[in-house]
Amino acid sequence: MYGNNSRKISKRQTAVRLFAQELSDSTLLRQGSGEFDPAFVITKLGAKVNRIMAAGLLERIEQRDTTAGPMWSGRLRDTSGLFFFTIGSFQPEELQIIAEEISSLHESGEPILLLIVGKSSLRTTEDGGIFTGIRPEEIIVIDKKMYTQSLLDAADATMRRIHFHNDAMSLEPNEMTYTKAGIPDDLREGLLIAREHYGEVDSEIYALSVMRALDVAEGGEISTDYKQNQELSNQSIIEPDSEEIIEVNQSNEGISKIIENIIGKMDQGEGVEYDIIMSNCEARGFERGPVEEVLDQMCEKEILVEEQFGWYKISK
Amino acid sequence: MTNENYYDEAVKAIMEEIPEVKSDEVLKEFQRYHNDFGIPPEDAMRSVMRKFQVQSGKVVEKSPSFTTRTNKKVKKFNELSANDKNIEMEVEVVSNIPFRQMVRGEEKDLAYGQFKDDPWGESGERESWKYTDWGNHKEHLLPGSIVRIEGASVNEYQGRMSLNINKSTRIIILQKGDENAQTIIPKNEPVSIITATGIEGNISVIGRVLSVKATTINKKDGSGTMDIVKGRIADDSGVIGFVSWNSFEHKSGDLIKIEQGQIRKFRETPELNIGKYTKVEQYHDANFPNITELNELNNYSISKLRDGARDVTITAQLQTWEMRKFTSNNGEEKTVWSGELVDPTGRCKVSSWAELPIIGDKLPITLKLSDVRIRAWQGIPDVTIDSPEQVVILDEKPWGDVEVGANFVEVTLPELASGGSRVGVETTASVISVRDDSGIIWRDSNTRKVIRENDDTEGLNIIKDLRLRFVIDDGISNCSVILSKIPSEKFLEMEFEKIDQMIKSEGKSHFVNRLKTRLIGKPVIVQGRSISDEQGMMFIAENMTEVPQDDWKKPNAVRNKWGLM
Repeated sequence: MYGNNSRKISKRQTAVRLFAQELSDSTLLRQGSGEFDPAFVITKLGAKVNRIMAAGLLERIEQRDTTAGPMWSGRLRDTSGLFFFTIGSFQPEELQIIAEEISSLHESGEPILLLIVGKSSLRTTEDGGIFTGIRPEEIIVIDKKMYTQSLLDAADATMRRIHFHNDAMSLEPNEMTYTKAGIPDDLREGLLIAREHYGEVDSEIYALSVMRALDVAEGGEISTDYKQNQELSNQSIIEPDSEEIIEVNQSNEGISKIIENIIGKMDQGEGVEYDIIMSNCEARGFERGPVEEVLDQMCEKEILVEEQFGWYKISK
Repeated sequence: MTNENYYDEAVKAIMEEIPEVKSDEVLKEFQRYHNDFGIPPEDAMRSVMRKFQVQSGKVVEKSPSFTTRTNKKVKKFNELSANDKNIEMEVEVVSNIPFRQMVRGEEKDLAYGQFKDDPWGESGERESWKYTDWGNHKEHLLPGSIVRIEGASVNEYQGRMSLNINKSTRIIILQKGDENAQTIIPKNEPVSIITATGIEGNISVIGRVLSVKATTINKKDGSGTMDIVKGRIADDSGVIGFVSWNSFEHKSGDLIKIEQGQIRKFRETPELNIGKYTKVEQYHDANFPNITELNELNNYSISKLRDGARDVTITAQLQTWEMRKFTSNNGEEKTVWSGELVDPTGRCKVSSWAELPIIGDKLPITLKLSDVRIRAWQGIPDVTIDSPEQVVILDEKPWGDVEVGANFVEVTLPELASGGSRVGVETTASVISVRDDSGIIWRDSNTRKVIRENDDTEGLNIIKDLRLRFVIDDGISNCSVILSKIPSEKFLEMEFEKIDQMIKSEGKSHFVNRLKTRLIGKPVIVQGRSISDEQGMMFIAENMTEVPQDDWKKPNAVRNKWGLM
């Protein structure tokens, strides 16, 4: 499907409006065969995301030294979850300056709402871990009004995708049927690829994200049940024990203890899914890489068993 | 929002973690996040936690050290060792054999085959290695192709080395392999005409012939003439012009099936080519729309005009009409009449090589133009009339008066982007980029060409000018927007000299950054003309205004639109 036209120059890619949850649930990257063909993250709702416009509360920003020079990484929280972004040394100096300014503002404890326009990224580690993120092209500090507007844009765009996703699920999966049924040009290809890759997707979870964003945009109280909201916003993220937080350390032992704790609390008999373990560890401030490593080590040491692909249990 | 119980759970969570902080301070912080920034307590939790942790000296956040992966770039297989990962090299694909296998409980499409190193034959000695494709890259690993692999790893088993092509490996085709090695997709399945117009290549369609005209053209090499047949066919989805390079026996009204026709674009207009290998035969379908119904599809509006289109029928209001004489390249004196057409979808130009019974002071009048052709100049469609028979002056307008002048036709960005160039249009989208070259520029006064820093300016008359450039985007489509001097002055509400002075004193980057802070993410309305080509769309704006905040999207509008309560 890619490269079916002979155009040498790619058109500028549109900035897709979506919530963090839709991006982070994605596991598929598609790239054309030409050297300069754009790469797309394909979401479960069929969005082909090369460029993205995201907004949220800056939750973390820090500079790291890498072999390729200093790199900024940060995360942005919207009403559905977290966007991760990185600014590499190869990106315009102006972005590094903005990152530095934002970082010092963040250090002062000042809440910062950001709007980022950037390229989506998805990388897969050799053992199957998937990381999605944004490489910013523009970063702007925004106010509440603009943030609300961004939530509404993302809500509207997500509902549009849900609508056509649901329509498409009842159709024969081919270009012609989708065209005849009025599936729009910008969604057809992504929906076909998503259907092939993800199979049947429950769009209800994304509709809940939309509802939540609309509630926040209206400035109303979402619910007085804090725990219930946590569940809604983070799917299955469990609250950390206070001793867990106090004792947080990034050593393998620390991570291993957290993983055991998460599985111990959440296992209903079938084990706990890989994604849930990851999102719980991330919510506690751990990076995916070390967590994946520890997860593998725990399986090797038979502390954990993976009876079913991607589902982990504590060995008896 | 002031209900303090709403924050109780969140405050409690912070107090459990950092008992020494004051609960009313925590409550205030949550309220501040919620009221001033629209962030509810559950979303503000980590940020508030971090603030008080840092304040109480409890946690200094540091993530584990991070190292990026480095690529190992090699030319030959013998430069690789068993532990090498993330390899980058260029290879020739010798073979690719797909198979299916259970991997971690899932059935996966895999492939194996042979690569040869040094694909350009620089060293003279070439080695072959086996590879396994774990990432279903078969489309990029056609036998005979030369590819660059980024992110492969070496696998050693019983002393034998091979390459693992993983899911994350990027494969770039540097030279495509033998086309015959590709799977040939059957092209006999007919597609609708609307689908066919979006494809370039071989297709099959079923359609009714709307018009047929035999004609003769001069061969490009000057070796004589060639008889061809041109015409149009349609189904209920649309109309397409065709050119038959062979004899074409079918007449207007016939229903035909064309197999293995080829779609090529003539300027902006797709055309179905019937060649040596194309099969054309009569087709029978009693339910297929008749010629009268299909002819309706041949009636265009100005918004649908495309450069290169022929046999177009259009009804529009003629606004202006003037005669112009000129001398052609061969010294012949010629006369051309031209004017402006409008309809409810926009404006365009019209030219006639024949004198028409049009009187200038009786304008506007409504014309029905048949079998006219479309040419475009600088993206603006120009309806070309070749003979008076193509023109009928209508007594009645098919619509009310079309308002022209300061009014612009409102068009959504996706509609603009999916069509041809348009004049007199207005669209709304958010600014997602302000181009760094916005501000003062230099031009050659004769050619209006923009002069860049290292250009040779000898003998040129250079003038200072102002230009702003943005990208606007609505999440479905995007386009670049150019504002020349006057619209820029209007948008910035500042005169040229003042802008020049400001940029001189604060610097160009500061000027651009200020525009970014003001505009990025914000919706704007642009009015002017759009120029579409295969690189995308450009909008030459006569006006640009920010959408007032009161008119921004409202939660209720989104709820109503999608039926969410």
